Amino acid sequence: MLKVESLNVGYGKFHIVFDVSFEVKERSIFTIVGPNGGGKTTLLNGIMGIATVFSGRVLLKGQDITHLPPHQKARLGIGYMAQTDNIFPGLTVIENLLMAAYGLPESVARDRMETVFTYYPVLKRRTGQKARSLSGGERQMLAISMTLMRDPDVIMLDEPTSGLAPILAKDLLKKIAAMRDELKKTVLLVEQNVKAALEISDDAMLLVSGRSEFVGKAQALLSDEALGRKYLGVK
Amino acid sequence: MVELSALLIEIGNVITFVTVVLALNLMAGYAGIPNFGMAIFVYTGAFVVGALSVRFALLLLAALEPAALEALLGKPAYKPYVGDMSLVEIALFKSMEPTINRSLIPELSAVLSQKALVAVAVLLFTFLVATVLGVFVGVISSYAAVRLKEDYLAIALLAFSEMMVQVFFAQTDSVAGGRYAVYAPNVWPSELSSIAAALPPAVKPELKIGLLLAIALALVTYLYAERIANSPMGRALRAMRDDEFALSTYGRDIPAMRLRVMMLGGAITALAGVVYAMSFQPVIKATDYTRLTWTFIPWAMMIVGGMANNLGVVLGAVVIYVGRKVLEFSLPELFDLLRSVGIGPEGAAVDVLRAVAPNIFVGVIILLMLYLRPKGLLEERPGRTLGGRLRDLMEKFSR
Amino acid sequence: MVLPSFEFLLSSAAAGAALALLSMGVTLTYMTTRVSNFAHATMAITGAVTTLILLDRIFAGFRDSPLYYGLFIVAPIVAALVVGALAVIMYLVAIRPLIRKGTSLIGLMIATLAFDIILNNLLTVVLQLTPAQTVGRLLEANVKGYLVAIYVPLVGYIYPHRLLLPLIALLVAVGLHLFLTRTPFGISMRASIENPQLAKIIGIDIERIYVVSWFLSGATAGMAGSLLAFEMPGISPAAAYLYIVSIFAGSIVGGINSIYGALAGGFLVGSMEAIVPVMLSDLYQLLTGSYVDILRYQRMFSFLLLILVLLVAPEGLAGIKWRGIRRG
Repeated sequence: MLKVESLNVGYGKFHIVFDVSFEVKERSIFTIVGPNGGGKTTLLNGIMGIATVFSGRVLLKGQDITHLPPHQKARLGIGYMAQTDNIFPGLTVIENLLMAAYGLPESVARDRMETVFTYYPVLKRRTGQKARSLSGGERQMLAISMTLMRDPDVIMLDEPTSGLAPILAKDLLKKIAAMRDELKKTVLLVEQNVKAALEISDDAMLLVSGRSEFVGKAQALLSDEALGRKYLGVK
Repeated sequence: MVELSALLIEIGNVITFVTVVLALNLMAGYAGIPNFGMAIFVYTGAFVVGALSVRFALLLLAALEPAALEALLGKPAYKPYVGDMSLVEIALFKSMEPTINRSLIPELSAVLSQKALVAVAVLLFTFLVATVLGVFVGVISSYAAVRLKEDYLAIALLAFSEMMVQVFFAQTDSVAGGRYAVYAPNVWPSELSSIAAALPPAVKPELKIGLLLAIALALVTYLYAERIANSPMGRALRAMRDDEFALSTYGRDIPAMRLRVMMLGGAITALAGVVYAMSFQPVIKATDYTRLTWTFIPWAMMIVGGMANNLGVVLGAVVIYVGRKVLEFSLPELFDLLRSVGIGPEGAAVDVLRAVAPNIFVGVIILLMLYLRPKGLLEERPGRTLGGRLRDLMEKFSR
Repeated sequence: MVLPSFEFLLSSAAAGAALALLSMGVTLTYMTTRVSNFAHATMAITGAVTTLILLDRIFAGFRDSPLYYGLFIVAPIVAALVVGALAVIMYLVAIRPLIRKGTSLIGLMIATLAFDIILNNLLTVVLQLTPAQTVGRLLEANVKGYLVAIYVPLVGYIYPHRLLLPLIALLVAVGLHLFLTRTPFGISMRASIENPQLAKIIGIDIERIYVVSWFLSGATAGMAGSLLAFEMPGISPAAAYLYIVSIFAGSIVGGINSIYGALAGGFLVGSMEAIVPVMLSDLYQLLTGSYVDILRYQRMFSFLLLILVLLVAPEGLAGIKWRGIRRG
């Protein structure tokens, strides 16, 4: 579904991610783990087209989308939820959701919104409120809902559980698994919550200092004690 | 003879621009203060020459040589303008009246050339007051915005300069150099003039003195700017320009640093204005000190030459000034050529195009330079600030 | 002191309305593309020059028919389109390439100054080649018999065309509000201002929004300039230098990050500039018996207000916590 071929990414002149290659298969969860500052977010930004891609290719369903502007990637079917600043605080909840479907016919946008409300009924009660008045958990729900508004084929989530209470985090990972199993989505996930994330994942990659140290089955990474001890704090 | 002095005046203009651009470079190039109000600083110097030095000279004469003052101001022809004012009152309030000013200034110059002591006093007064006023204007023009982001600073400085030019333009009397021109007196004692007259080339001695003065000021400014650039203060300034926040966390008081640079740059620019008004443009009018001539063109010179490179901005000053002149003088011939193939402009259009072409040229050059060679003809010599060194290191690694 | 006449209040409101439009335009491009556009005043003058040319070349032919009134409708629209297109050209040719190269804020400002110089000098050429230079006088000469003053009880005689500027500014303000809150494109503009990166991520083409914001900025400047042409004693490119101080004063007084703030700040600065100096002149006359024309220093008042705001509340009107103040 989403294929990355020897991608080199950075900002301006700073080179951060080196020669990374992997493939996210359809209807699977692919998780990228690794220490902080290892380039995970930069890699996602590079795929989306927000960071500078120096070389390499990004393929979506076989089509080379490497150098398309981000908004076109979104319209082609990549939903990306950034780790921070992932909602518009000055817009109302409904405006946020409408913006996330910008360019789609209004009836489609309304339908999608109803679907999203079935996942997160609490948002339905907040539609007229400015997003800045939402609680942390509600903001996260809104951000995820916005990612779903275009009904994307590939969903990229950058540390969706960060800042959530453990019980909410666990629930969220369950929802992500449900995205794959029920909504038949392809998910590219970046997670700090390594163990729990790998347990729901199909494949995984370990990214250290901008280089990929491991690509393969999530279970294999989970059971590789050497790597786990060295980088992930997994015993 | 005439052509030679015209040429020398042009050279004087270039040297004035060199000093102004060096001062601008200190403020904008090194310290990152976007001074879009340069014009008012140059005008400050001219104002001191036209308005303050004349009054000071007359008051000094009132104290030391009352007879000379009587001869200057007690003329029956002035009666309709001054009524029964005393000489001191005339000196203070009516010496800028266009009719009086026009005949007074040459006579005052003649008197000053005979009274070396008064002349030297006036000269010292002019430079001293211009320095003080330059510092003062530097502070009041930027005080409200030095704490804020650079866009606010740019707007405040531009607005201050535009506002002041308009205030002075509105002046028809009493202050000087507003809507009507006032004249710059010659403040050189005859002894100095005769020495200058003996030197080649054969032009008016005061022009030669002015040129020497301008060169001296430009040279001192250049050496001083170079010294600052390579001093700890210069490093701090560039660090401030590159990363305000990082510097302030090291305990530097950014607003105070900015103010100090504004004072310094303001004083230098005002002094350049003094020499310019005394020697190269002795007809002083607020409306001549436009944003175009004294703000925009110095900026163009700096950007073409290379910000934060003193030698570069000097080069830029020469390139832009000469470029404009060449364009202005070659355009009529170009139009003749175009007309001979039947597409050239005719009549009034020729003069208009000749007036606007050098300005459009500067605008286009700026846009092209910003796009094609943003660091200018001569780049800033790198690696002297910590931030700069880090940047270079990063670039080396990333290749 | 005599009470100000309705006519005087109306012309002050017109000055305020024009400046509200102009400050709003400066703020709009600042908020979207982070460019302080120093060419904005010259753009307004371009609108005035467009109006002059329309009058001179086209409407002068209708001077004996009521069609002459059409100038008041046609001129602002044509000026808006012309100057809006000009602003888009400026953005695409001069600004966007520099933004993409990572030019600093100062570099972008100097680029707008460079564009200002180019445009201002081109206008000089255009005006030199246009015989008429004063819409006001030309209008007077041509419209006699058509520009009827209407008598309003309690108020006196008013010229209807003088209502045009406040009316259009109000319409633009209301239209802009509806555009920004009710249309998807307007909401996407607000979204892009808040967080351009997120806007891109969720599929908004922010480049299109930038182009539109430059068009709107130019169009409102052209419209304001066109209507100001009827109020100006004479049109010259140099008039741009008169306006630039007030425009930025309005924008900063209102709060440089708020469109509504800019409308309010512009109106405040513009009308104050017209009213305060006259009141001070009257007061001076009342106290000393002699007349002094303070109106010629009017830009000083906008500058002083600008300085006051920078010192006391750099966030401007929009940044003040009104609710907190009300609660005391």
